[in-house]
Amino acid sequence: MAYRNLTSQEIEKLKQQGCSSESWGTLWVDEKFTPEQIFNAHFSGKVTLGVYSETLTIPSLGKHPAGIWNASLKDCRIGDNVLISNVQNLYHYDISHHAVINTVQTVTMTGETHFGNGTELEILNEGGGRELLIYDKLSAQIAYLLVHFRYQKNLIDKLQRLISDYCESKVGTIGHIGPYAQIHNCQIIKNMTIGEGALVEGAILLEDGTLAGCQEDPVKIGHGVIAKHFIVQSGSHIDDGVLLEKCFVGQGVRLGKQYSAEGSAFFANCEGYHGEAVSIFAGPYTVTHHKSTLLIAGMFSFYNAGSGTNQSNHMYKLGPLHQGILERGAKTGSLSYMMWPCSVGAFSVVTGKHAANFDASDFPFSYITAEEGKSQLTPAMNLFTVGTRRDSEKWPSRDRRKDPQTFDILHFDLFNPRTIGKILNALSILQNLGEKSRKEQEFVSYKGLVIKRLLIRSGIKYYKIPVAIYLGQCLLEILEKTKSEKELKEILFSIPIKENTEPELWYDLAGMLIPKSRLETCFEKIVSSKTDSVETLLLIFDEVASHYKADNLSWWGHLLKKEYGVYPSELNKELIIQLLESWKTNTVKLNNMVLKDAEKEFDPTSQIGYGLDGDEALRKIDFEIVRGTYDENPFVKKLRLENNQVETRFQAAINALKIFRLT
Amino acid sequence: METKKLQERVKKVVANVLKMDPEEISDDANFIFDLGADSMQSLELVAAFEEEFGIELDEDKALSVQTVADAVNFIASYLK
Amino acid sequence: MKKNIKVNLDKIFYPDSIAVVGANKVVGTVPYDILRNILDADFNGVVYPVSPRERFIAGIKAYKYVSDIPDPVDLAILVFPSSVTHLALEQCGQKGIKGVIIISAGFKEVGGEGIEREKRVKEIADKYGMSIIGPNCLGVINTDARSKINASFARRMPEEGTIAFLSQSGALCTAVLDYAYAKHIGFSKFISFGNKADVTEIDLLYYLKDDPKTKVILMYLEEITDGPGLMKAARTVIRAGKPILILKAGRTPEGALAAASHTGSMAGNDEICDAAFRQAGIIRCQNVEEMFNIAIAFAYQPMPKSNRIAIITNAGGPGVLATDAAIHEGLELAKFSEETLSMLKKNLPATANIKNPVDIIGDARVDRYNVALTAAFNEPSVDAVFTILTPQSMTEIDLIAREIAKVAHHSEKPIYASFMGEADVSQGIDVLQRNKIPHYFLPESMCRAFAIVYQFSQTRHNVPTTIPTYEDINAPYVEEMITHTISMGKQFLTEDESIRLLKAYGFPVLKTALATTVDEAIQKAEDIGFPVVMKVVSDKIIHKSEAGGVILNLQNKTEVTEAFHTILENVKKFNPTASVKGILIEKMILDGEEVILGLKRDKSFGPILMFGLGGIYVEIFKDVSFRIAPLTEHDAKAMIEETRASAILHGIRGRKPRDVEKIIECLLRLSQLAVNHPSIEEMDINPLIVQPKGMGAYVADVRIILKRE
Repeated sequence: MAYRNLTSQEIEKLKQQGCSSESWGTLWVDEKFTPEQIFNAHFSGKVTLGVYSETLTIPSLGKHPAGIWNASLKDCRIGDNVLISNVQNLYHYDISHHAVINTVQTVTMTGETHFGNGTELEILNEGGGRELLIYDKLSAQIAYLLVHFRYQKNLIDKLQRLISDYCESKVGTIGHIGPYAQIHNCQIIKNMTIGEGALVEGAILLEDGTLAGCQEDPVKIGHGVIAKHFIVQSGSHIDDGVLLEKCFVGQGVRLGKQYSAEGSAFFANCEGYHGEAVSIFAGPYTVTHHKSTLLIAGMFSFYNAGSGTNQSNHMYKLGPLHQGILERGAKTGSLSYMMWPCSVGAFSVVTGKHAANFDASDFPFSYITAEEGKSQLTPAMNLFTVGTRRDSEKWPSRDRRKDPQTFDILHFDLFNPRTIGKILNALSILQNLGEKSRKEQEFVSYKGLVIKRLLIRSGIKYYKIPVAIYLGQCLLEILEKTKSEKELKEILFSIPIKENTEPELWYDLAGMLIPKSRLETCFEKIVSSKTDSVETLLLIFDEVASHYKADNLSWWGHLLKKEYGVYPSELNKELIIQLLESWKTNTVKLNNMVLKDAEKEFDPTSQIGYGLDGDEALRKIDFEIVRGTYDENPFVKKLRLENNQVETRFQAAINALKIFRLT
Repeated sequence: METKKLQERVKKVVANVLKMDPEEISDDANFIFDLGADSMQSLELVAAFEEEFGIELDEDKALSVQTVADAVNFIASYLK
Repeated sequence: MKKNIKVNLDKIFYPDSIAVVGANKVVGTVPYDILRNILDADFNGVVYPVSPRERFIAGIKAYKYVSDIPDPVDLAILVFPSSVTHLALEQCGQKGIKGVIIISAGFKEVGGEGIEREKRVKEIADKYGMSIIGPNCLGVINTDARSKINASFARRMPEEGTIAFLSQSGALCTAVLDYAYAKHIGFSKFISFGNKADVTEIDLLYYLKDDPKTKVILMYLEEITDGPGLMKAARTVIRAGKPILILKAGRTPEGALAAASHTGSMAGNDEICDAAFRQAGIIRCQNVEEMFNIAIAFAYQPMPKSNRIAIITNAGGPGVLATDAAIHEGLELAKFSEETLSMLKKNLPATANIKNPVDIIGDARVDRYNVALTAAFNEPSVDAVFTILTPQSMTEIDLIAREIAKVAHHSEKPIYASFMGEADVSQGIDVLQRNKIPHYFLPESMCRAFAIVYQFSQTRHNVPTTIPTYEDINAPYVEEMITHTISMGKQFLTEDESIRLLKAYGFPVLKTALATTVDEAIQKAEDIGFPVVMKVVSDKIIHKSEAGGVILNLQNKTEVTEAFHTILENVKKFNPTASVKGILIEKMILDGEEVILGLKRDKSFGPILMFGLGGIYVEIFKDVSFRIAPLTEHDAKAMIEETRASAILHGIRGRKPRDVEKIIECLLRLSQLAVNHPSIEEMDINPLIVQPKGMGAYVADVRIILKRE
């Protein structure tokens, strides 16, 4: 592209059109430039202009010729067919082709900036100690490592180094507006990078940040937004008076209705309306919709906040240091309150006000209610509530991300090695508690919780159901894929088994499930000198995640050994049939219990069913949730259908087995 | 076991879990309607019966038991 | 026991005493919340919590059983789990309680045992003459100061108003309450009726008809079970002067699945509902916002005497938009008298536009608005005033809103407002809303709402009710033919049978004759007169043209002979097993407009009639209209006028007008036929050839499909 100075005719024309310049000599234009579409523009410093020949079609303005109207530009590079109209100050920006900046007070740079990259968030621990450095290629998994594995010094040092280097590379004194980006009716845009296709309308202040560029899934910023020191990845919409201060917003996030967040990170598909967040790690699918909901110093994922949810992280001793960890699928009921530090197990529900600091992380699928000042745990109670079932099914279909590159890795399986592992753990704890307790005891205590002694047995009974389902399910999936005995044997023999080892611990890295051994490999790769950029980090995780299915099967194999005494390669026909039967019985049992719960969805005497989902169910016009009236409730219908399918699948598998000899 | 004795034991368990006087529990009392049991307590009752009689009850069926009399019959069937 | 629904509903909406049956102490549960809501709304009566365990709840003495309550109880709200609801209900019945609301879920909507439970509940209700709202509902709200009852989970008691809201779905209710609250829209009664095991929306419509507190009725329905019942109730309510606005969720279209007839495939579930609503005078809305836009127009302001409006605006652009919208909605911009014009000229600046729409210019303050409003209201040719405001820096938004409210208060003429914008005008809008001035963000919504109110005021008195019946029909003959055909295991009448059937009902049919030999064919053709049409008659051949079994425009003996053979050959090729009864010879009409008349039976609404101009108008443009039989003459006329192609029937581009009267007659006869003979499942008269005005019409082809055995 060749640039030239203006001809004297062109300067004359521009002057006639109300334009002026400190020095016409520092104005460079494209070879094919013509001045027709430049009116009332004032130029200073070095300005580069392109060609303005097209008529743009702009949603709020209709058809408008590209060009510059009523603007004051300094040290800018303006690409082809851009529309700049009514912009008081446009300083130090590089505007890409077809971008639109319309009625914006100020678009400036105040010197060197990182555009939000490298901003440190005091996550989880408001007083510091778990700082998260944000940058525009951050993923939930990388963030998780940074926040939770502080004791792995080499790992953290390497990560922080890579990230800092990356952030340094982002430094600039010139701001960027990407191609086809649209900025309308805003007040102040300062030190920003705005990516391709982004739409910004009515924002009050955007300062020191990055809006990702993505044609397939643009970022949208709407009315009244004030955001400082922040990063927004593709496909996210931030609207209606949202306030952000030092925040990271991942992909496909929705923030609106005056949501206010500080020092917080929101990963894929989060939703925040009406409430407040301080120092939170909002893993994927963290959803909070209600006014007066405060999330502070907590970690969440696949989470739903009932209205008025609240926590405290102050113990008035050493300052706001405390944190809460809610594992995936947890929910808090209306007006629930927890005093950190607390931990809540996966898919558990917390209702009521809790002043005790409890640790319920060992008990997934449980209810934690407040009874007479104590935090009461009812283990396994949430296994067969309608809510759990519905939610786990809806997440995959609600993945909004359309960007071809997704950052956060998500695993959705309800019964997986981590959760089942936790359940096995819970089983042994409960067993222990049951044995140690006396008949006269109404309650037993455990890590700040009380558990009704009588419910220990039902807890054990219920926890065994998902274990049986998981064992049978994995086997069934293998069987359904094989057409011959040979194939089956091959698969069973190929499952990697480490002799004489217990099923290993799995981690949930904010949505991604991974066994400890593989995580350690992952750490090695990160620390290795071959890893020299943040892009490589993403590749490492992709590679690691690609082993999920195999790792799952391997864990299943170890579990099989533990529960039935045989490795997959040692399975015989009888045992396979036994496992399948157990799968069938338990799946149907679970479905039936969910069905029974569906009857009670508004069960007036259920302390638990209502007030939690009741609130959200009533507010969301979510027809799959709401009890239908004329037809059978579609969710109920689906469950019944599933029971039929269970029988069919079982029969098909048994029939296929018949022809195998298998000793 | 003799029905009368079984009935007494059942009532004792119920009284324990629901924190009432066994005298207040009539033979055909409905757990929800007459005794005000909620769903949590229903679960506790099942567990308490299992413990008292050393049996393992089928959940589904157990949770469908509506009255004390039904409970007595249901448990009796396990004791045969 | 005999049930007096009105008396029972009075007990539900105006109880002196309420029992909350199944109450408990736990905050956040339904039973507790309902009790709390009743108390917080300042219920004008006594409340009895009934709980098997608690001796007191919320400071009030609780009873173990309903039968323990010493005094009589008007309304029982049942919140026990569904498994024991019948026990509680039985006690209520014995106690003599007539009004019941069952909140609990776990009935018909979960299938299986739930269906049994619901049946049992209905039986008990009937046994004791009780009326039940629910089960599986959110409850009931009555804002009338006499009662003030919030027997629901809605957190907030809505403001008092004249709008009643009925909903089948619980989810929509709280969203609607929230929406309305933000806009200060009040309700008279708010009812979530759930599974409608006993009390249905039809019962509630009749009740609200007589409710002096209700001026407008809004409904949300998911599915319609008794279509004709609903239409009848609606007509009665509308005749009483209360408009009904409906939001109907479109379920998956199943009615339009593979149907044997044209009509069958065109009449989708949603189209039928649309037609039924229109026929009954129910106003259908697309969404909650539209529904309330129209509702407040009905509720807040008097009905206009004419559709002549005055528009007052402080900005040209919006004034033009409003004018455009008004014209689009068929409204008229009133012409001001000299007196008004001179008054405006004197008191408004020179730059103002004093003709309608009156533009009082951007810098207008409240005084100018006052001048324009006063002039408009005093102008005799103006029957409604639209006020538009855009927020300029000097616009006294609040004052102007108050001014509008003041003027409205003193006037019989309706006034609507549109304060355009959002942030700055919000306080002004608040003033308007509090003063019951309908406010619209868009001038278009304003005009539309007004147009609907105007239309309603004009038509509600004209709802004709007489169903014309024809005496010159032979119903027994037709019934016999149908029964006989069905008993033979056949579902289709042959063409000649169909023609005979139509003849028995006085339809104008073409002269036809059945010929089994070539000679016969020639003979008959000569009798009837050339040109003729020849069609194969066979049980197995329904789509005759496809089979090559129809040949038109035969001018002479030779052509007839040839056609006879050709048809038989074609048919043999098409379906060698088809037995041919003969060849129908029919007079060919050359000059006429083709129309289609159809009939289809719908499980919710009964017999549906369809009308459309034939050929591409139906096939490609789907330009058809529907009505539910039985038809009034007004309905038949409206059906025809509704189609866009009807203009052709009235004569355009030099073509003569057609005999529309005859079409109306055929529609009415078809209506009578449909009503008299429920075994006719579907029917297409395609085409009915309509001749120039006064010259009648002829059925050229008909297909009749009967119910399966």
